[in-house]
Amino acid sequence: MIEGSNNLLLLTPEFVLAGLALLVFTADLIIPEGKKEWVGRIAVVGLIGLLFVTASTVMGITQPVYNNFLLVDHYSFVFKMIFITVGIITILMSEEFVKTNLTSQGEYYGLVLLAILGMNILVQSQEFLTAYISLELLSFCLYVLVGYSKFNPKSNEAAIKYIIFGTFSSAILLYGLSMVYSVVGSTLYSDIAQVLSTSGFMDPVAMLGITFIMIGIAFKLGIVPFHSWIPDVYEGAPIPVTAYLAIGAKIAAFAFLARVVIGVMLPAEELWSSWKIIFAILAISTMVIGNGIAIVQTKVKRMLAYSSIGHSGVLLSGIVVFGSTNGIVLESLGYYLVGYAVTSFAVFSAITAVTYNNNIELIKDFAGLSDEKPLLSASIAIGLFSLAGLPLFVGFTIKFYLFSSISIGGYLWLAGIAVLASLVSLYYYLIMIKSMYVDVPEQERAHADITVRWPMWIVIILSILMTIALGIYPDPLVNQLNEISDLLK
Amino acid sequence: MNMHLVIFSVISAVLISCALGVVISRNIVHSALFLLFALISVAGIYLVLLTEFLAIVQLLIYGGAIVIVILFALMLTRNEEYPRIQNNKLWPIAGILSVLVLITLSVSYFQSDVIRNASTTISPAGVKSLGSSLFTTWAIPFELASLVLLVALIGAIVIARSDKGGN
Repeated sequence: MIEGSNNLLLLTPEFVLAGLALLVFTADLIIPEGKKEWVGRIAVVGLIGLLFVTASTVMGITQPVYNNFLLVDHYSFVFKMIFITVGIITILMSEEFVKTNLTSQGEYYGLVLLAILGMNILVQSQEFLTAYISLELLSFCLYVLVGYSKFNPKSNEAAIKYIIFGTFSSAILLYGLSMVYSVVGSTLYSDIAQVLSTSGFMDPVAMLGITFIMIGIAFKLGIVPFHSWIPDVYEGAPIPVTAYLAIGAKIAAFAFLARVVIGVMLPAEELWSSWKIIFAILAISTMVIGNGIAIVQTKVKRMLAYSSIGHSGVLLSGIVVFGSTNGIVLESLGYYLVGYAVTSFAVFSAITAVTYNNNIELIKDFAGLSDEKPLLSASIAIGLFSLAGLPLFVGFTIKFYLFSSISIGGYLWLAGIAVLASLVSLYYYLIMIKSMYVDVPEQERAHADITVRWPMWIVIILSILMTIALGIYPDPLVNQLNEISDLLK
Repeated sequence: MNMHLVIFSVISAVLISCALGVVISRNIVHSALFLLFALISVAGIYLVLLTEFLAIVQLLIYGGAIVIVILFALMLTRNEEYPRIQNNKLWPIAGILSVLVLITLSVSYFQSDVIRNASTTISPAGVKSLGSSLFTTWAIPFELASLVLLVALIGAIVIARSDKGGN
């Protein structure tokens, strides 16, 4: 009855990660107040070790585990490595912020680790209930992290909004799943795909179920018109958590969506041909509305929130060409996600460094930053230029790859809209850059009390270097990603 | 018409009228009581389907814990502070959308083969088979659920713990 239960060894990275999280919670009990950054450092060392454990146990293996509920393959391997790295960087950039602003500092790091566990299992799920529970594990950690600065009313508000929207979207997903189950009688992607791909299959309950599942995922990803929670939550959350939401959680939800599309929808060609159009419409509305509203924002975090909505739209337009091209689009999506992560970390870490001990939140408050903290403002500027897709930086190469594979798939007009959206985004990124480099600050030495410690320097310098290096010489990464494109062949 | 169907129809009628009562009732305490009866009726439906474990869990968790929590929340807040539904200018749109979703759902269920193909015999799913499938087939999601509970516990403690000061 249980197939493949003998290869539980393939789940070693997950067991180690769960153990590490519990170890971190325990270490929090021992380490005295005031030295809590060591809890985070234990987590970082553990995660670096986990990178090696993951590489040595599951690299290059494609094998279903435990009743085909999970699939260990190159796709999940690549994303696991990304999530673990995102976790390391998030913890490093959180250290100073957590120390200055938060209570219950030790648990913060443990929750970041358990969120990684949720993402890791999410990307290798081949079955909706497992995916749902790992999505809940991820979301629960994020609900708590968003509300972590509990003496800040905005953080409380953001957490309440996030919990309500999050549980609502989970409920929609589960409702859709129950409909699909009532028709198919199974929650495995492969079984659902088999029923859906029967020619002439048009059961309205199953179709509605699939729609509800997609709405649930779209809520998590923040696709327009299901995006309304994103700006408020991103604004209210502690800023390292905002980075974690915009980078880690977004990549996880996206990897999950791609898995579901590949596993459930692509085999059913009739279904996919109509869903493609829906995805294209959603992608366009997301790009237009995300980038359009970002222009009028005056707060940095809200501007970045809308810009991240815009990026979701670009990613979604990559999904539209699934099935129309060979695997190249999956490869370029993976590259886009990595490039987006690196670039966003350059922006978010520098903004964290600028704002962790004051109340700066408006774009105009960044005026004069370039004179006082040149490296921090350079990091923000490089990151923003890269997000806008200027050459030399990784942002250009990822967009070049993705847009060209979209046009190879026959959706040249979609790529055209994406290019226009990038142009618009350049405008509002430039507003921020102008504020830092050109505008005269209202008061002298407004940023004098910023001190940046070494963990943050590591993150900032590493993200700047990677933003440039991956843009100039992407080969090693692209070669790694090349193998995940097999999924689409 | 067999006995099963009669019992099922009675319970469903109670369930639907209680669910309507939750929404229609103007007094929020009455709503909570209607909700309690609706949840108990769901437990009744589980019993009709011979899944006694689910029925017990439904009674304990929904009928017990969740309704108690709602009543506590009602006790600890003041009635005058509740915003009225009419205060939200978007309520007609929400109403129309809900009715549309209801119509779509009902139509698709009547169009679908799900009801026609449903098996007419009920096979009892005892506690034993539930337990064995939870710990064999579904072991991985089950273990993950324990971590979800751990996160919920830690999160509740972190948020609710009284700390001195703060910024």
